[in-house]
Amino acid sequence: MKHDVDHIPGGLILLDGSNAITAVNQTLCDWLGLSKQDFLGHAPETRMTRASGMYYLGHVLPSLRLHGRVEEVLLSFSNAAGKDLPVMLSATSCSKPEDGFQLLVIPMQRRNLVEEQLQQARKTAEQAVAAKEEALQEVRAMAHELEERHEELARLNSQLEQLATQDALTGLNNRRVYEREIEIHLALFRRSKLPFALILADIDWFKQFNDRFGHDIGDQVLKEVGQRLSAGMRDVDTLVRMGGEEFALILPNTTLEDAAVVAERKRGEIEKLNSRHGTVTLSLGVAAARNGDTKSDIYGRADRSLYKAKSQGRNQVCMS
Amino acid sequence: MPSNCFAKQHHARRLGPPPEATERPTLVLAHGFGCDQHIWAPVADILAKEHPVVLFDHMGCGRSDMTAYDPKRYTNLFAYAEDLVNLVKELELDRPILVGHSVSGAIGWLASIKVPELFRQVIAIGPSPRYINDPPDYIGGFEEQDIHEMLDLMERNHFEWAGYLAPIVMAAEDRPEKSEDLRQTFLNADPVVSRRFAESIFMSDIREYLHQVTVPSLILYSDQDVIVPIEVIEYLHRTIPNCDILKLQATGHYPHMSNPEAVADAILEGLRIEA
Repeated sequence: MKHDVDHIPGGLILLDGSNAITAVNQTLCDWLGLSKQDFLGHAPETRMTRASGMYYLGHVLPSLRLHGRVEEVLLSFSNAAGKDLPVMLSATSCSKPEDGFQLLVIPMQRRNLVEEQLQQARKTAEQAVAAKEEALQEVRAMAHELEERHEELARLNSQLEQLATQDALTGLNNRRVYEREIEIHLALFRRSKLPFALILADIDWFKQFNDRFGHDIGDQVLKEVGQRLSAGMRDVDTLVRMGGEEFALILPNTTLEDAAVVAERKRGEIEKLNSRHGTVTLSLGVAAARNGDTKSDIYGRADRSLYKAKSQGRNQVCMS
Repeated sequence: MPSNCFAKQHHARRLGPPPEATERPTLVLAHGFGCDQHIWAPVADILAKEHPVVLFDHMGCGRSDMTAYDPKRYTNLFAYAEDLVNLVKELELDRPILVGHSVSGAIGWLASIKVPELFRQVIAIGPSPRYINDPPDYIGGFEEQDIHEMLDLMERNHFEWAGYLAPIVMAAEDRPEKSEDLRQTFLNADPVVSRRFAESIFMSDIREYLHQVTVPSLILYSDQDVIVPIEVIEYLHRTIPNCDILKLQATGHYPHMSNPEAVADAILEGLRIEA
């Protein structure tokens, strides 16, 4: 019987309960180029590759201990020349695990090659999928970034637009807006004959006021006047700080007389402003669009009216 | 969160006398890679004759609650150390002694750094702070290539789990409780989870933390341990501040399995009852 076990086409290892080899058959000795004495008393993992030894200790032995059997485990022994012998291992424990285990191993060099190739192919496929996924993620991230840049650009554009059309001190529209709006209203007037009016307003004695109280106070007065002028205006009206202490109001669909009423009301409001530094007053010149007007025509009439208001003693409205 | 949440998640079990009935310190037995608390059975039976003993499964192993397994969290040993701290606190153990096999030694030391008064002693069986060689000064026993080969082996042996467990599950159906146990073990043999645990263990390097270990430590080691060469034990001995080593009358990486009496004796002799 011993003779048979020694020559079966499979390696046989008997272990005691402490994982030490108590017997090994000749077949395994021949495969590994070792004598039986090389095995006896040692743990089987000492004859395996390091990776297989780890796997044997980490998985096979505990499973064997806990469940009484393992089947079809792939691992590799190391022969005397240091070459790997891949095997398939099945093992069972004696009826009591303390009594030991029987291990049977079958070499699987050819099958192992196939398996290794399969594993390699699967890894390659997995890597390809991962690379694709990564590329996709990257594209998504880039698209997202592009979107964010677009939003940022749009935001900056609108900010820029605001900066370009806004008077920094008062927050009112600046002269660029006036130039644009007056052209639009003249064009509309030429087509539709709907009347519109222009009011120019200038703070009286502002230079002296500035000289006396300083620019900070002057700036404050400009802001207050701007605020007061913008109060009560219609959505369609346009209020502009032309520069210095001069403001302009474009009132669509408004006759010369109606505009004069508006101008007079604004004059009264400013007069009542009662700043800490004395009364501030406005002189205003009003003009309405006439046939054939260019923007300098209508501006010229409003400006002359303003000059007239100034020369007649200020704090009043003139029209032409 | 219920008061026994962590105990449940880790399938914690108590053996031996209740802690309040004895002066002897409680022993927490922590298993290593590839197994679960069952591996302690022969040693635990001896220890529990006199000491309160707590057994548990690391998350992802044995009958731990896999619904609590967060793959993003369990990528390094710190997560397992945190679990251990939570478990000891929840069970209200009074400065127990941790007996950790293999990676659980390292996990115990990390836990002791996190909460220095947690354990009165850490007894580590075949521990390693780093498995991969780091030439020229550190011998861990393995090359990175070995670890990758082992992970490949795990992958290729994936079906082995289903192979031996499925029939057992079927056969145990007339005993529903046993069947449920096995089903849980079966679920927890998820090869992806096992692989991740293997990676977090064998790729770990906790050498930089060792000097922070203040808990008294005892390392038990044996001959012919292919996982942890003697150089690693010597390294730990001279690096951990308050650390003794003791050679077991046993061989291999699983002395608690192969020579349970020797391991139990060494633990009982090495216990620091004081403090």
